[in-house]
Amino acid sequence: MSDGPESPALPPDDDSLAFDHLDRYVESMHRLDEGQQAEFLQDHPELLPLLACLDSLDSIAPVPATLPPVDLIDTNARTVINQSGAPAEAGGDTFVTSPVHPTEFGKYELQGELGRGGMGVVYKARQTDLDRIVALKMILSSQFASEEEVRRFYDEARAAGSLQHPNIIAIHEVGEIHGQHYFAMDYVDGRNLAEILRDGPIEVERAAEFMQIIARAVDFLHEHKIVHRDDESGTPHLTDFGLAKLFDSDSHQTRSGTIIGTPSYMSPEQAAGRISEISPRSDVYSLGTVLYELLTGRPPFREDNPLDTLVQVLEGEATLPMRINRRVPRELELICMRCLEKEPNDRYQTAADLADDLDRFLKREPVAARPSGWIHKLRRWTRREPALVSRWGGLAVAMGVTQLNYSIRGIDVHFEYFVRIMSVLGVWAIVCFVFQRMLHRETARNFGQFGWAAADSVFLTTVLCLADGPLGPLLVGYALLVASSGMFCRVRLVWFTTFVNVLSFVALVKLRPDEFSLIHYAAIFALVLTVVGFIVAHQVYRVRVLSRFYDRRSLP
Amino acid sequence: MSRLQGVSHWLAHNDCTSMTGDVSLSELLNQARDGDDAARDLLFEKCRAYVNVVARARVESWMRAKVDASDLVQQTLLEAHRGLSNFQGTTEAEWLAWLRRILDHNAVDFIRQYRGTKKREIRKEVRLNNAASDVSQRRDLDPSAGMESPSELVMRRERDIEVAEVVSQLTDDHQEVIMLRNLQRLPFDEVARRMGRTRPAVQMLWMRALRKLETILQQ
Repeated sequence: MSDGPESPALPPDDDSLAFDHLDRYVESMHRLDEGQQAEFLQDHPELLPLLACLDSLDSIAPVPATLPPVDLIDTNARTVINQSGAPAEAGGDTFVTSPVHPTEFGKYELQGELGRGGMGVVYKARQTDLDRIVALKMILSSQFASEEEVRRFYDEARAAGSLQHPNIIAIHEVGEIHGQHYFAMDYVDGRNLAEILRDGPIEVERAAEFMQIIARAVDFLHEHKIVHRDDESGTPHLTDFGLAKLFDSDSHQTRSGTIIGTPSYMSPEQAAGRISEISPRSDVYSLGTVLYELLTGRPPFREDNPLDTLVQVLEGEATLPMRINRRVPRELELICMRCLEKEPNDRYQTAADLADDLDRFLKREPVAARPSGWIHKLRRWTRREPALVSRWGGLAVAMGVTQLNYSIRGIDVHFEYFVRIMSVLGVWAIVCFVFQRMLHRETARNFGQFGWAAADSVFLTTVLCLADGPLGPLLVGYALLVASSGMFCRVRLVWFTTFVNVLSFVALVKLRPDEFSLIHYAAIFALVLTVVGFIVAHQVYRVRVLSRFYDRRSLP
Repeated sequence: MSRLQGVSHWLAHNDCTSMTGDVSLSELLNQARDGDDAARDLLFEKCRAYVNVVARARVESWMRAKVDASDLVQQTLLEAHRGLSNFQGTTEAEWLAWLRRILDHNAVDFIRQYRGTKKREIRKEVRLNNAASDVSQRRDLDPSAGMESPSELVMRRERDIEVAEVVSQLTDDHQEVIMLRNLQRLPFDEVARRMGRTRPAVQMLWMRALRKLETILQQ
């Protein structure tokens, strides 16, 4: 519900522009989107005094947490939740539930919202008959929930209710009050993972202890045939069994019925939607992501949007924890990375195995996780550096073919010619390495991507300038570069690459006029190149739109 | 976090010039607690506008209508005045949070009374008396329920007092648009509906109100 400005109605002076900025800033403030706010401050230093005013006003305003639980009041209030002390009056404007009034819900008094996920919301509540504090979980807007969702909600409660474990939240009661399904569970007062990590990575030993407790609890669940689909449990209590995360501040969660969980904490098989492959080993992966975050302060994969995160989970390789936090011991890193293996067979087979290995680590015994063999390392490296590996692969093939050509037809090929081609290809490979380093630096990243695309094009043109004619088949290299630029999923990069390659091709035509005696063929090639670029750009654009759609869509 | 750094940096830069009073709030606070009556009066004088703005924002967002909150402000300041010796904190942030907490407690009763009196058409004087006795006898609400978290407490700044002060100096129109848009966080459509104007008009009004606010603050 953005309050976009109606620019035509405003005078076209800088006031309307400023309004635009200020309004967006206020919106981001109300959404508690600090990232966007910080961006604003950077982008509009001239508005700083006004923005500071807005900040102050916002801090004077009533704290959002004390506002009434909106969805309950809007959708169910009249029938479900009565304001304490007075029966609901139909149509009376007195029905606005005041935030600090404890709100009645059956025998519970809702005291505040603890968290919400894609489908569920959790309240802190007081159970009046026993006078104890519980956490109440409900389906958001029950009347919109499908039968399937309600069934899953009950399954979850039933599954959890049958368990007794010191580190698993106990379920006290499941039920329905005026169409609102709920279950009551232990209330755990503590900080969640996100809060713990706000101050940076925690001590390594503590992280290991913490994970050991959680892994044991998860193993307990597995023994009772529950695959915990959503592992971002914050306290050393498993708080939640699938729908909404109890203590979670991540907005990218539970987007659809098929993918449940936060992409950052999801195993590759879950991310790919291969439901049949989801097993306890998927939870071992998720445990690994939590351990990773405890050690480094961030999950193994977190990109700007869920799509990029998913792609990384499926194809990428996490940076080694030691590179982020030097205090991470090698053994613990091995344990962590073993959990994060893409192939379930390569991970710990059960959560208990993980817990045992963490135990060994804590007792200073040699851990079971072994450094991987060189083939395995190579495979990981290729996953970590796809851009470099694909280029080096291509260059290696080109050099191999050149070498083969020279070896077989040695007499016909001038040595000088051979050396020239080989050295251009070699320099190209070295330049690739330089650009790859650049991609790893946050500041140089953007330049790295564009620069690399341009460099590729220049090197290809150089090779083609030097190569023997007829060049015809080799020109496909330009199309290849344009097509592969789509892999970064950036529309602008595709356009840029297309433009540079067309330009390079034109330069080539100028440099080697003998090769292009039929100039209209060259024109056709340039045109086709542009069209290829257009198609790739359009596909990337489509994927982006889809990604944004799923990012913004909120579930009922 | 960087947002806060940015703003607080700006504030730090400007505070030296924008401080109108010669004594800081925390000093005032200390003097008042040491029994300096003049300091105490000045302290409450400084905070009155703040309490007023917060009170209005609070009750008006609950009632979804304009409410005369002066009784609530009166009651809150009275209790704060009486209970000053119980106040443990030292910083402005803690002081403001304390005021807000008293206000929050009173606001609940205030609204109850307000609705009740409206319905039963009991005279206003009665309500005032009731509120006073009621509040003093009522056991305190659990402060952890729906109250501000420690991090939010730290964020409250002396600057807020100045802003509140300036807001109450604005014209009624400007006050109302800021009250609705910023303090009650309503979308512009709703602001327009409440104020009985078109949306572009309230947007313009909002811009002017902010500019005015900024200008006065800069002085």
